[in-house]
Amino acid sequence: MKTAKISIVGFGSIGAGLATEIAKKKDFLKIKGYDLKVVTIVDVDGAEIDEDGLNIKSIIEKKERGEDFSYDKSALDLIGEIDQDILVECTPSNIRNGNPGLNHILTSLKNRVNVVTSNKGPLVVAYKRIMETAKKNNVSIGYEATVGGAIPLINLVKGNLRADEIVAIKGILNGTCNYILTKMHAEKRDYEEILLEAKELGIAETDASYDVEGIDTASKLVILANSLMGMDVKYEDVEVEGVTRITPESLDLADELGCTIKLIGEVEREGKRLKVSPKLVPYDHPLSVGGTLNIVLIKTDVAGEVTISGKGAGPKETSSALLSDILNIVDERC
Amino acid sequence: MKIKMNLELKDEPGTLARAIVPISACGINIVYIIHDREKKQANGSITVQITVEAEEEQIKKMRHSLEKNKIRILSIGEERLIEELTFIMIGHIVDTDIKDTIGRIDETGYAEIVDLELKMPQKKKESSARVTIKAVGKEEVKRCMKIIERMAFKKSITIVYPVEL
Ligand SMILES: NC(=O)c1ccc[n+]([C@@H]2O[C@H](COP(=O)([O-])OP(=O)(O)OC[C@H]3O[C@@H](n4cnc5c(N)ncnc54)[C@H](OP(=O)(O)O)[C@@H]3O)[C@@H](O)[C@H]2O)c1
Repeated sequence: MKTAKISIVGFGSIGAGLATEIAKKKDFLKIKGYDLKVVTIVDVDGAEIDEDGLNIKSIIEKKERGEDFSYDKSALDLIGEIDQDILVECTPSNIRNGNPGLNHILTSLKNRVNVVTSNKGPLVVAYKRIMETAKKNNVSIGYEATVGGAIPLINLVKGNLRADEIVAIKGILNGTCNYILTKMHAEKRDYEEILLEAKELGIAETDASYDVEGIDTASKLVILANSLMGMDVKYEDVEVEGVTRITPESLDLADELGCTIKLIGEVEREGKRLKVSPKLVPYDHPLSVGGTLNIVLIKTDVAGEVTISGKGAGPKETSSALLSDILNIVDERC
Repeated sequence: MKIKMNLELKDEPGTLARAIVPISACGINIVYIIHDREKKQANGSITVQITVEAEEEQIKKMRHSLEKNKIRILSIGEERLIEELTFIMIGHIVDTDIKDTIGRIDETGYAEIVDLELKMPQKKKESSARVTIKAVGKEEVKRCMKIIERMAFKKSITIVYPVEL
């Protein structure tokens, strides 16, 4: 049995979702030979600590009751103090300076604690620095959950496709935009109406600008370009246009051609081209998936085109990616 | 009839004019010229691509007079609009004078707008248009896209291109 001590930083929907899955899958993971212990959970209002493993259910109930956590400690306080193998970073994404996540990640790596993260911000602003810090301290960082939710994209390319060179990546990387466009097309209704509905359903955030303006997709492209295509690009290198101007009439015009409109993120190694823009997608094209689904088409020199699709967000689905990174690290390091 | 030809010219001042004068003298309309001095042949000469609009008789005359002027025709042939691009524009398209854009594509001589469908919403919102252009080649389609993108940027219009581009 391989044992790993895990700390979760940021106990929002993803942090709590992961903790729940770890608790739920305890027996299944044990059969597979893994014993995962969540030893600390840290949020803005404090921390819960138990070096023998926390009782997840009671912490979630506590959070739901609105009670503060038991210890007045921050993530940075605990990194050196509590013995841990993997820190899971799930604080909000900030693509301006990467913080607080970047600080958490770098401090953790410098203290020889492995990191798994769902937070795009730090990787968008400081990919190279993070990788160098991990290497220097002989620890690992997993970030499968930052792009495409449950889709095993990064590990697929770094694992099974590792002999291939990635020439281009193209896809739908934001479920909120895909939902809005799919609904607008099917119901011939205005963007504003569908956005409002998506917010009520919890599919779009109250401030959806990050998603609908294409910023989220662009951030993901930067991560893919730097980590899978050996490029050295910044957010500013991406040409970005979101879905806010798409009209029901434009979808009608597309329909007459046998197409729909999707927000497509694309990166091409040649010419260092990174672009997020609405595109005409034929109904029979591999990228034509609806609802909140994400899809990615990877073009490689040997395999040709490989397409994978799945749920791009949601606490449960994203936990699958986090857990896969966690178990990879456990296999490798624990 | 649209004719595209490649002429071999010496890389020296005034040589382009020496090629153009005999063409115009035949009453032929030059549609466009691509003159790339960077691309030299092994013998130091350069190639210029000239597309003209002319009748059979005029072409014969032109060939003759080019020969007389010692300008070698490397290739010559009829040009057809074979590449197609359909895209959607979203914005205050009517206000910003769509004719202007269309005119500019048609004026290039290597591309034409072959279809245009405009849809206006009931409310006072932005309109959408679907445009199909045809051009003589892939390179020319790319040039049209540049023209379209410049216009779109200036007039704040969103362009939705096919995913394969
Ligand atoms: N939601 C998804 O489906 C999804 C999918 C893939 C990736 N992601 C990424 O995963 C991360 C988490 O997403 P989420 O949906 O769980 O967001 P969330 O619900 O807003 O959770 C973020 C949590 O981090 C806490 N936090 C903020 N600053 C902190 C700090 N300095 N130290 C410790 N905790 C701090 C927040 O506390 P307060 O609420 O008290 O401020 C909140 O509990 C984000 O970076 C997101 O982009 C999300």
